[in-house]
Amino acid sequence: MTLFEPILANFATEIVDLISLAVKAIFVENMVLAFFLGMCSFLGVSKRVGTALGLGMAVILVLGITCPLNWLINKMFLADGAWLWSMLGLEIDLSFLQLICFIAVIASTVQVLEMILDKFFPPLYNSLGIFLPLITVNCAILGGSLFMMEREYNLVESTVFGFGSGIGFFLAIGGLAAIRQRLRYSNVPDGLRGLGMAFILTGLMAIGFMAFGGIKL
Amino acid sequence: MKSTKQILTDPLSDDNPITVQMLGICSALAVTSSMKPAVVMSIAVVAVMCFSSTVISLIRKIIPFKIRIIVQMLVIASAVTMVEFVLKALDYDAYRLLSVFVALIVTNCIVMGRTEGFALANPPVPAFLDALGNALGYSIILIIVASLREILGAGEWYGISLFGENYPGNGLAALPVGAFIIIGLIIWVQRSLPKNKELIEETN
Amino acid sequence: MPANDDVNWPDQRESGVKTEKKKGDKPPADKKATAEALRTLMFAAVTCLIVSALLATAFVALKPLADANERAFRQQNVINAFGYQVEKSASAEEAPDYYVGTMLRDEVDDTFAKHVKTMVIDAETGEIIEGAMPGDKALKQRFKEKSALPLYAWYDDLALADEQPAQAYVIPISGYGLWGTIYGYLGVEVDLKTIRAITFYKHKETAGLGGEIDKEWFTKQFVGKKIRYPSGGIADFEVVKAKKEKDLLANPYAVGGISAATITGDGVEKFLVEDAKRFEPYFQKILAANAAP
Repeated sequence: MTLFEPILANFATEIVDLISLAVKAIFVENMVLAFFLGMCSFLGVSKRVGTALGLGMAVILVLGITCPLNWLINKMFLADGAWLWSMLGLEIDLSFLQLICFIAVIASTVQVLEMILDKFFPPLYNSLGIFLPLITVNCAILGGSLFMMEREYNLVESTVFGFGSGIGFFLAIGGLAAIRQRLRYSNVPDGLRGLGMAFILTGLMAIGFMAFGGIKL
Repeated sequence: MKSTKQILTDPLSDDNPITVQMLGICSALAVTSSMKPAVVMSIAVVAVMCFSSTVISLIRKIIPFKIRIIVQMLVIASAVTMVEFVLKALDYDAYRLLSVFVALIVTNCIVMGRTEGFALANPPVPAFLDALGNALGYSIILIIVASLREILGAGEWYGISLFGENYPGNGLAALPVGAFIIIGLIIWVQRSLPKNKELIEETN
Repeated sequence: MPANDDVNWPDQRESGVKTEKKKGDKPPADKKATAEALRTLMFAAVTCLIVSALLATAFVALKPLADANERAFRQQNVINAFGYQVEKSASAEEAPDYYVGTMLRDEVDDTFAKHVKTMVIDAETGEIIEGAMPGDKALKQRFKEKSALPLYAWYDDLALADEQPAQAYVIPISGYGLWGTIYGYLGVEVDLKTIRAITFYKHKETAGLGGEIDKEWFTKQFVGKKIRYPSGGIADFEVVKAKKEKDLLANPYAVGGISAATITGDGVEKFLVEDAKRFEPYFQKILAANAAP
C-alpha cells in the first residue's frame, strides 16, 4: 500500500487541480461574461432558447476539440525547437505562423463538424443555419486557443480548459436567451429594446457570475 | 452608390460598426478598461483593416470564388501577425497591455465583414476609405467607452489623475459589467435620436 | 453578427451544388471543373508561399528587437526589486526615500553588467547549477515546477563576487491571485531578513482593486519589513485588512491590504512566503558563511 499511496496522492491532487481548472473556466473566468469573447454570436443568437442552446453545444464541441488539437500542432510543428525530433534536426522557430495555423485548424474543425451534423443530426444542423460556419470567426474559439498558449497548459489541461470554456459559454448564452424570451413582451423603452437591453442584461449576468470568484477549492 | 465622402463618414455614426451593425463587440468591451489599451487597439484595427481591404480589393478579380473566405482570412491573419511583431519590437509596454487581444483582431467581425461585404466588389480606393471609415467608427466608440470607464472607475484619463489620489474608484465601471452597461446606454442614446427611428427594434 | 435573417454571408455549400447540377456535355464540363480546381489549388499554394515568406522575413528581422525588449523588461523589474526607481528620462524630482536610488532605462543594461550576478539554484540542494541562466530552454520545465530557481545577487564590485558576500538578493515570486498568476520580484538585504523592495510586474487582477498591487502606495509598505524571524525561520508574513496605521507600522511582519481585494492580498501573502521558503537551502548556506568570522 505504501507504494501506491504517493501515486494515488499525486493522482488525487492532479484531479483536484483539473476540477479547479474546469470550475474556473466555466464560472469564474467565463469566456463571455468575464473576457467578452464570442459576443457577436452571443447577442445575435440569444433571442430563442432552442437555437441558443444549439449554438452553445456546438461551441462546446469546437472548443473542446480545437484546444488540444492546437496544442498538439503547436508542440509538434510550431514551437521553438519543435523540429528537433525530426531527422532534419533543425532548430527552427515557426511560432510566427501560430495565428494562421490556429485559424486554419478551427476552420477545418468547423467544416468537419458541419458535415458530421448534416449527416447524423439534420434537425440540429438546420436550426443552426448560418451560425455554425460563423463559429469559425467566433472570438471565443480562437481566444480559447490563445489563452491556452499564454498560460502554458499541458495537453490534459488544454482539453479540460477547452470543454470548460465551452460549457461556460453554453451556460451564459442559455441564460441570456431564457431571460430575453421572458422579456419578449415587456415594456422596454423604445431605444433600449433589443440590442441595448441585451447589453444591460449581460452586464447584470456578469455581476452574478462574479460571485463565483470567491470560491476556494 | 454612396458618394466617396459618405463611404468614409457613414460608419462614424449612422452605420457605426459597433452600435448599428453589431460587429466587433468583443474587443470593444475587453480593452476599454483604460485609455491606453483602447488607443493602441484602435490604431492596430485601423492598420489591419486598411491593409486587408486594400489588398483584397486589389486581388479581387483573381481570387477563386470557392476559397475566397480562406484567402481573406489569410490576408487578415498575416496583417494581424505583422502588427503583433511591430508592436512587440517597437512598443513593448503597449504589447504587454493588450496581450491576446491584438491576435483576436483576426476574429473581429468588422474586418472580415468589410472585406467580404465591400472590398471584394469595389476598387481599391473606395475599399480603403470604407475600411478607414469603419475602423474610425469603431475607434470612436472604443475611446468613448474607455474614457467613461477610466474616469469613473479610476478617476484618471490616460493615466493622468483627475480627482486626486483620494478618488475612491467606481468598481462597477472598472469591471466588465461597466462596459456592458455603458454600451447599452450609448445604444439607447443613439436610438433615441429622431433621425435613427428605423434602428428601433420591434420586440425584445 | 447581424440578426438571423439579414445575413449576407455566402453559403459556400450552395455554390458547390450549383456546379454539380449543370447539365451539358460531360467531358468539357469535367475538363473545366478540373482546370478550375487546379487554378484554385495553384492560387492557394502561391498565396500561402507569399504570406509565409513575408511573415518569416518580418519575424526574423524584428526578433532581435523583440528579444532585447523582453530582456530589458526583465532586467528593469529585477532592478526595481533591488530598490531602484527606473525612469524613462531624467526628472528633476528626487526619488522618495523608500527607494535606494534612481536610474534611467538606458542605464539598466550597464548596471546589470557591472553589479548583478545571475544564477540558477537547485531548489532541493541549494547548490548553484553551473552555467545555467534564467531563460534556458532546457530547464524550462524545471523553472515551471520551481525545482530550478533564478536568483539575482547585487555586488558593489562584481569582480570581487567570489570573495565577498552579496549586498542584496532578488528572488522571483509568483502565485495565484484572483484572476490569474501574479509575477513579481522580492529584494532582500544581505542579512536575508530585511525586505529591500518588492515589485509585481505581471498580473491579471482588476484595475483599481487587486490591480493596485503594482502601485507604489502598496509596494512601498514592504520596504524595511522583515521576512525572517530573529530565531532564523521564514516569517508568516501577512497582508492584513487595512487597520490603523500605528498597528501596521509596529508590526514588521505585515502590510496593509487593498480594500475590496482580499483574495488578491491572500494570494500574495501565500506565494510570498512559499517562494521565500524555497530558497532556504541556499540562503541557510549563505547565512552560515556570513556568520563565520
